[in-house]
Amino acid sequence: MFCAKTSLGIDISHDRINLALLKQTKNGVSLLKTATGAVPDGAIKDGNIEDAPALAKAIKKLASQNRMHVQRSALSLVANPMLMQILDLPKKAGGNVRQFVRDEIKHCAILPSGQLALDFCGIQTPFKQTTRRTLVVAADSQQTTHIAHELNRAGLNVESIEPASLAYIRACYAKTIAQAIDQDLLFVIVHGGIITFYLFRKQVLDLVRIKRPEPGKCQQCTMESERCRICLADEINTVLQFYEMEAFDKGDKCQVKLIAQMGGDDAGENIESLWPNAETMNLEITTLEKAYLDTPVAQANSRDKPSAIAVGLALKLLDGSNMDLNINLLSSEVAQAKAAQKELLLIANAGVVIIVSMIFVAGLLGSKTKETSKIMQGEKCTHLARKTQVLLNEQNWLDRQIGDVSKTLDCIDNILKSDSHLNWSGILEDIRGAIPSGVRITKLSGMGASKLRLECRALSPSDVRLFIEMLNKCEHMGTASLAQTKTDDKAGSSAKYDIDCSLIP
Amino acid sequence: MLESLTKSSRSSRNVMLVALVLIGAVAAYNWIIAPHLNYLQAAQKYELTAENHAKANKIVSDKVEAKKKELAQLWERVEQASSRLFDPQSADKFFSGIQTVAQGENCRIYSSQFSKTDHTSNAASSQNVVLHTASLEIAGSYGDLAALMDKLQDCPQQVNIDLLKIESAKDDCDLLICEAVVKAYVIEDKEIFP
Repeated sequence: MFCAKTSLGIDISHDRINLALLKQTKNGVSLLKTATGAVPDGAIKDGNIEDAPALAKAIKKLASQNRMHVQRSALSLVANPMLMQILDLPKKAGGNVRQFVRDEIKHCAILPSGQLALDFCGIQTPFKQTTRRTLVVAADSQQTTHIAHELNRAGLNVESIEPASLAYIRACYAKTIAQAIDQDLLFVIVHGGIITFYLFRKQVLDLVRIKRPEPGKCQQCTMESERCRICLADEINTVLQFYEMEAFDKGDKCQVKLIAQMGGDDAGENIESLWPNAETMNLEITTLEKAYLDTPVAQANSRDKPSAIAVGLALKLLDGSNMDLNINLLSSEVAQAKAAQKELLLIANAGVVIIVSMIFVAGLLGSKTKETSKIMQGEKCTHLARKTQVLLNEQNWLDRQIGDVSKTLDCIDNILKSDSHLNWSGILEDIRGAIPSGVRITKLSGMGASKLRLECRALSPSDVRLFIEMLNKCEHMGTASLAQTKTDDKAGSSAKYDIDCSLIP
Repeated sequence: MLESLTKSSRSSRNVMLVALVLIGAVAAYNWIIAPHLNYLQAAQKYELTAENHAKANKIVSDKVEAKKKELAQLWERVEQASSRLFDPQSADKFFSGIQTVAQGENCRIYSSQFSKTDHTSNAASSQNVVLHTASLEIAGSYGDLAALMDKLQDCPQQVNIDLLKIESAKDDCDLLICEAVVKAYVIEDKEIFP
């Protein structure tokens, strides 16, 4: 994604809320912010969450005050009673491990009879052993469901719930357990009023044990009480005796790491004084406040002193730990509800996108429709149809007019052409110019449309020929030819000639 | 609803929600988009029809323009042709002035006979053309008669001289007697031309 991958670890003890916001970087994991606040009064009682909304509100407020923008978060388990133990898996369990684990847990007297939040993970088998083993954690599911639901409502997006001690083991795994290749380690973690023992033989988890306050004797285990310290020393001795009995190599020495919230400055010395051979047993006592130094985010010069448990919780959601103890008690109902919410959100977003797209498209179409309406309001088509009709009418009228005018023109042309128009003055002038001295015209008469007969007398035929020849050269004459010759005895030597001429209109 | 969704199986839940979104989308499409689309499609068809009308108008308009030009040319030709025809007033003036014209050319009219003949050859024509004729017997010298002919035909309108006959007078060899029919076509309602 574009933004950095972050996660928030929420460590809840009986009186404190510790937050650690971690960021995944290229070089590993770094601490962004840390915060500590008090648990609201009455929110946790006898190791159980009594007022989940108040607790969630306090966590949300703490995160907001420290401007922690949370993508996802992991929560420490606050539940009493809580079961944490290692089960040897028989071969008959086969692939149905969950059912086997459920059946085994059913017989556990400390757990409530109601619905359980249960998870397990396979762990490595110690040297020379062949049975498969699993780490099982179980608690009252109501304790996990309510707080997860409230935190999710507050927007903290809880993705994991696991025991606080397991979170500490994750936080210190890289610096302590992973380094102790040939060493056995016993972690004694006092947190939330209970003591948890983790025995690692050569990096392999061999024993897990939880010590709860004994009913009637004390309410919770704390280092401030002398009786609790004695009790703690007894428990450690018991585990160490077990270790010595089960040790593969009798020469091995187990390093004990005690992590607890110390009430006073001399609490550590007081604890050490409980063992006569404390110097030889390799005991290391660390307060919860200083336990962060074993985590990957520890920096000597840093002012921030995060809770190691909160760091471990946050590490679970990042790629910052190689530990294979992966327990998540977040109930399947919450996970399913979250998944359903996500799907619902996704589908709702898809729906919103579709609706917004439709609104956008509708807006575009609406504007287009408005433009179109404006065009159509001008009754363009009707106007055009009307115009077409007008044009067609005009065309018809013009056709009729052209027909009539053509007929008129034809009529006039026919009339004018029916009668040949002869230029008589020109014709007469032509004749006068062409007549020789020996010829005398006696009569001139038009014959039909374009013909003329000249009756004349001539002294000799040569004069007549000359006359005809001259006539043929005239502008307004077509052809002139001798039509008839008559000799008139009365006239003496002259003869009478008829000449027909065609005239040029 | 969230609880019921959570309780139902994942696939059925997804199918139901997707179906709801799809139904909503289809309904929204039908209610919001489809009317606009239908309207725009109708408008597109309307536009197409308008374009066709415009094209048809252009074609008809071009034809009308061509026909107007053709009509104008025809009117021009009719005008030209009719200019060779007399109108009734000018025809009357022409025929009544023949005597004067003849006297001006030293000719004497012995007789004259006027007549009118309806000469409309085409019944469909709206024009009424009448042939006015004047049968004349004129006395004069050859040159005077030629000048008279020239005068008679020297006008914009067409004047035809037909059945011309010239011969010497019986009692005077220098005097010529000319018989001729002067024809002029008269258009009755010339004013109708544009």
